[in-house]
Amino acid sequence: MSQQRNKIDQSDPFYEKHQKIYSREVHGIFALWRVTGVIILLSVYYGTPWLRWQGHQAILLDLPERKFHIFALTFWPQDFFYFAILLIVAALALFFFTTLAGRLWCGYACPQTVWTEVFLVMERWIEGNRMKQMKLDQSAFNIEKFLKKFSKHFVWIIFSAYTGFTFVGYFTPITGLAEKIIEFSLGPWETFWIVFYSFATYGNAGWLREQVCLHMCPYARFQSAMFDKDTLVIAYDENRGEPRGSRNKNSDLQEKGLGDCINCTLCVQACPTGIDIRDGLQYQCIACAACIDVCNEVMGKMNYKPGLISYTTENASHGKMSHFFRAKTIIYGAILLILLSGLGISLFTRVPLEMDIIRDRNTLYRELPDGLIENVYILKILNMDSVAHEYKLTVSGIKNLKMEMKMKLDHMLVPSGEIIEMPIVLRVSSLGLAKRSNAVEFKLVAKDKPALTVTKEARFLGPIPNH
Amino acid sequence: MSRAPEQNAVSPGLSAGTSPITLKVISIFWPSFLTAGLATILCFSVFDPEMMLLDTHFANASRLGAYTSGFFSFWVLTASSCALTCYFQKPCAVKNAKSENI
Repeated sequence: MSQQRNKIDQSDPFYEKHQKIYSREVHGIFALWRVTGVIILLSVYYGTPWLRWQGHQAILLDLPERKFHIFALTFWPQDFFYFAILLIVAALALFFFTTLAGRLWCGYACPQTVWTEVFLVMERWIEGNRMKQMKLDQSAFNIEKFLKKFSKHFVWIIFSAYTGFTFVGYFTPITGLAEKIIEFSLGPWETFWIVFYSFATYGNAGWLREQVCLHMCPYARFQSAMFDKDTLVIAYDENRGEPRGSRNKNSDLQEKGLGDCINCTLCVQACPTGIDIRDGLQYQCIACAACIDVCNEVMGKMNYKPGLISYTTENASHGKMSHFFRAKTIIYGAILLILLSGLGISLFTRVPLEMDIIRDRNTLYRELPDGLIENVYILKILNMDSVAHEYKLTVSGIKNLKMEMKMKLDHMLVPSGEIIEMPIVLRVSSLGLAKRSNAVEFKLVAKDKPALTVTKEARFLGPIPNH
Repeated sequence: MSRAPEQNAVSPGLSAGTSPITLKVISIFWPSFLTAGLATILCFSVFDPEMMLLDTHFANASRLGAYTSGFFSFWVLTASSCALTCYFQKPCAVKNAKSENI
């Protein structure tokens, strides 16, 4: 294996063996923001499946039942439209915030960042700080090393397993899932997905870390397309910092001909993707602002002004004004606003009732002996509401149209989440038909809630009128 | 500070590279994972596996089972397409050089 590696390394000098990045622990205002974000996001993730709403799990994307419960609303596969719009909204929101403030998502909200942060905390807790971790990894194998490594992976795996359990809890009722685990009666598919998701968490946050951002994340590749001169980025102030160099705290910079950067390399040590921000904006930079925090601390100790590395825009760094309102943000913002309000309105006016009228395809129409024309349809009613309703069906469009069906017309009780299906027969005197194909309109109204109304148009066929 | 140079020179020894084998594994299994997920969502929001399997040998399979097998079948397909892409990316010169050695 190592021979193979060497061969590759020789043939392709651009690659070096992957080295673990030991990122330095950072304290400061942005670290505080990130930790706050991590705590809030993780509480939301682990807490949400336990929320209850009117006797059921508040948010349950029930895949086995093909129904998504989100508080009072229930979505069906028929509602896929909302899901599609939601995805478009999410993508546009990402574009909007990227244009405005760069890779905010990467630095503070991306699950990869959030879980890696937690895994780093656990690693530090068991193996100690950056120096201790490096020393431990370089040291020969001994009992202490074994115990530390074992406990780290043990804690990571337990945490990952709970993460996997929570993930599956979004898709099958979590209380039932917990009971099944305690009773060792978990189904094979649930077990599989818990293990799969746990493994993904452990691998991504424990092992892959920054490599996910560098090699796996599509967003990281195209985010720079949204950038302009007013986008907030993390940048090193070259004019102020260079020429960099070490110095005593009280030495005269002018005399030594040095800039403000003392070349302590703490910004590089703090970087979770292992880059040097002083080389300029790079696609590896996930904008976590760890370098800002650590540099400001150093500037403070040196009694220099903070902000040698800072959140800034290209315009600001050239001494120009930064603009909040500009073509990109206005257009993204406007589309986002339109889509969001559209989604809001359509959700608000959504009627949780569906009716399908399907013509009987075998016979177009039947002529009855007493001069009546008969058409047969299949009626399907789907009650998507959370309670049962009794419906009333009426039909209009042709004079003296008569409707017949097995169930009593005004006593159609459909339980919540059920579909009823039945044939209906329409009859009308052939004298009343002006055309060969006539529009008829079916109207279904919930008796206890007239707002639940759907209408569907169908065709009533007959012979060619001879007049 | 100007627009990002896409591939900035990294300070030697400070930044970690990733081995070509890892990169190849990632480029075969990761994009295919994403597209397989998308295909699964689209496929099973249109078709109910219970209906699809009603007349088959797998009529008693649970929906969760059908989703899972569906996802992995999609993944096998998309991964094989990624693998072929990777395979055909190898320059002709490399193939020629190899046969010369034999």
